[in-house]
Amino acid sequence: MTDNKKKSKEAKQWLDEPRNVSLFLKVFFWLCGICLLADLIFSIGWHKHHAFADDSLTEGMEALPTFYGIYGFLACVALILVSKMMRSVGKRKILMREEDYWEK
Amino acid sequence: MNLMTLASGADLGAHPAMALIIGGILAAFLRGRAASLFLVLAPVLGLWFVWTLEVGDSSTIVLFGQEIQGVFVDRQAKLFGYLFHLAALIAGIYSFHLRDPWQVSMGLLYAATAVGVAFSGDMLSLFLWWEGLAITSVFQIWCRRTERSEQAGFRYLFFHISSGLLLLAGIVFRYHEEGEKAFALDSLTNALESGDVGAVLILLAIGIKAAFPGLHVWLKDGYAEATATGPVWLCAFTTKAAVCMLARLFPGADVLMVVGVSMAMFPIFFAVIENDLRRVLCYSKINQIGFMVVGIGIGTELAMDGAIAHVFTHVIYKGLLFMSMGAVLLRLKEIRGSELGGLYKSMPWTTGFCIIGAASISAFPLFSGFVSKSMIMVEAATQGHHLLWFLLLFAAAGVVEHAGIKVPYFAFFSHDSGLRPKEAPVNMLIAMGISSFLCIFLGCNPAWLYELLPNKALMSDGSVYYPYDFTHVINQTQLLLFAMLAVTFLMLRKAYPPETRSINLDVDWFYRKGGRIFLKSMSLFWNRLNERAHSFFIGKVVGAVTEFTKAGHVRVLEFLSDPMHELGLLGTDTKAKAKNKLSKRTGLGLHQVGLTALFGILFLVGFLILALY
Repeated sequence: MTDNKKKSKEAKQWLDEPRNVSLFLKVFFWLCGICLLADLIFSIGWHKHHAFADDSLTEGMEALPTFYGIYGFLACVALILVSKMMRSVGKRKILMREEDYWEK
Repeated sequence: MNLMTLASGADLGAHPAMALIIGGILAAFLRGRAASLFLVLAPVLGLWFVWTLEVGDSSTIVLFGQEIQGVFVDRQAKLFGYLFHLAALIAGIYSFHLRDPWQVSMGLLYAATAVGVAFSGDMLSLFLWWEGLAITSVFQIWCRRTERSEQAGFRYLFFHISSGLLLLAGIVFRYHEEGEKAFALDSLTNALESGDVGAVLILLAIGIKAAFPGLHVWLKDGYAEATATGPVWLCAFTTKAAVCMLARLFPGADVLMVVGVSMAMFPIFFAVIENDLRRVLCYSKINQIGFMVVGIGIGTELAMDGAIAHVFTHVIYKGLLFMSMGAVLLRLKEIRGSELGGLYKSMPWTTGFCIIGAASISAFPLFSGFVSKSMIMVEAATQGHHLLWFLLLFAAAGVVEHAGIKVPYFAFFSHDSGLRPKEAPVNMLIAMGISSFLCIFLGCNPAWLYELLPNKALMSDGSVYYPYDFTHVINQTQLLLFAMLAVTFLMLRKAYPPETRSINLDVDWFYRKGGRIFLKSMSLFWNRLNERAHSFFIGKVVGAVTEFTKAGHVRVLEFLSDPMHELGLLGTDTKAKAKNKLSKRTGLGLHQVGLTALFGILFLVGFLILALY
């Protein structure tokens, strides 16, 4: 009860407003878009240094515009989904245990 | 042997770690603010002393007739000297409020041992400092004074004492093969690659301290149970001293590339599902050390510089992240992601500093991680390690997820936990402020750091490495933003794994379960043996002996009573009466003087006969 009272008395912060959260996200999405666009323009109009010195399949991949964006996105999705499975699959726990597991 | 031959010949006047050692000892005897003052004074003095050292300076002492090169100054040692003193200063300011002499003095002595490792001139001095590192550091865990921290401290010690023993064994093996030459701190890469047992043991010893895969659990176990200020000390010294030695002893060892990339990869999966936010940082720490180990494994001058630069920036930003979590723990006695959230409302400064640390570890342009990690990535690519490069890029994207977003998000934002702790104490804010400044300063002015590096970050064409070319900036920004986008996307779709009150099994399962099985089986075998032995010896043998000593002499005399009666030794009583009297008197220990004397003589004669034959 006291907690709730405290909360209602508290001044609302900028992020308490759902509108502001969606504004924040919108700015973030725009930032991603601008970054992608900058990469496209730069790759086509000028020349990006390639990471690899030799000509190989991977070198070609790395040189493609937007490669880093796509790779970063997919890597993170894969990372999170695999980690989730490491914790538990369905209701079956794989690595997850109760907090006092080692005290038992 | 006089004292001069026991320990003599300090050419340098003082050891670079001397200021910290004296500070640590004084802090142990002082109380209150006077003790804390040394947390600031000693590192500042030491920093100045390191600055005055010239490359090539050395110092030898003779200990028990054996010459030990206690100090050797080169560019790498000097850089680590600066770093360890700077880290001690920041951690010292952060711990200024402590009134626990154990934590304060051991913190300073711990920093001193790390400085000792960095400057050690041969294997013997390295070994001495290496052991010191293990013993002084454990107090940052034990001083939390809970049962859990006590046990975690012992597990931590188990690993680190093993590391010391492996190092010693490695040195002995090598000494056996090569004699005095084996004490030199020269590269062992060739020896390692030709399968030298000593070199393998030394690598393992360093591997434990550097948290190689499988040997890493002490880190996430110990740091998570340490005091609020403990990990700030712990994260700066042990693993970094190990990386320092790895760079000295195993530059260009191919195996380190494999080890390093697995260190960079596997912890990020655990970090995603870990609930204890300090433990998340531990996993993230292993991931970052992985980058350094890869740099050393690649072994080119720029890669080595990259690894060492990454140590420098990492100590500062990881310290910053641990400091922000330490402040939360200090205020709330709680650090589980599932219980926190919304703390930005009452801890805005800590939140801001944590975000700066998160941006640095994620290697955003203009932050310190960017200028160091990129050197390793560039070298991985230019040296043609394609798969390695792709995996490192994956790991780099993974860092954004757990250290860049998860730690600040679940602690300070996320759902409002309703908790409104006070902002961190002023000394903590100052320490976090200094680290934040350094993160941004080094990110914006990498030349300051590059100038200090062993090879001055020179590329093969002789120019200094420049991280801020447009390609690099746009690629890195894109990678990080889209990794963040992926997290946002999964969170909005509610596919992101929520923080739950749980722990996750790691390879600690094997040794903790193994340890328990060992303990149980040993207890079963030895305790049962003990019980059997107890019931036989105490229950039966002792009983019989007692019975004998209690009643034995009575029986003997009863047995002798009839012949003695016939000889007329027992007076005029009847046989039965005399026997009865004798047994009664013997039981009570009452005898006539003459009879006692007779038996005394008989016993003496018996002993004499036994002794003679």
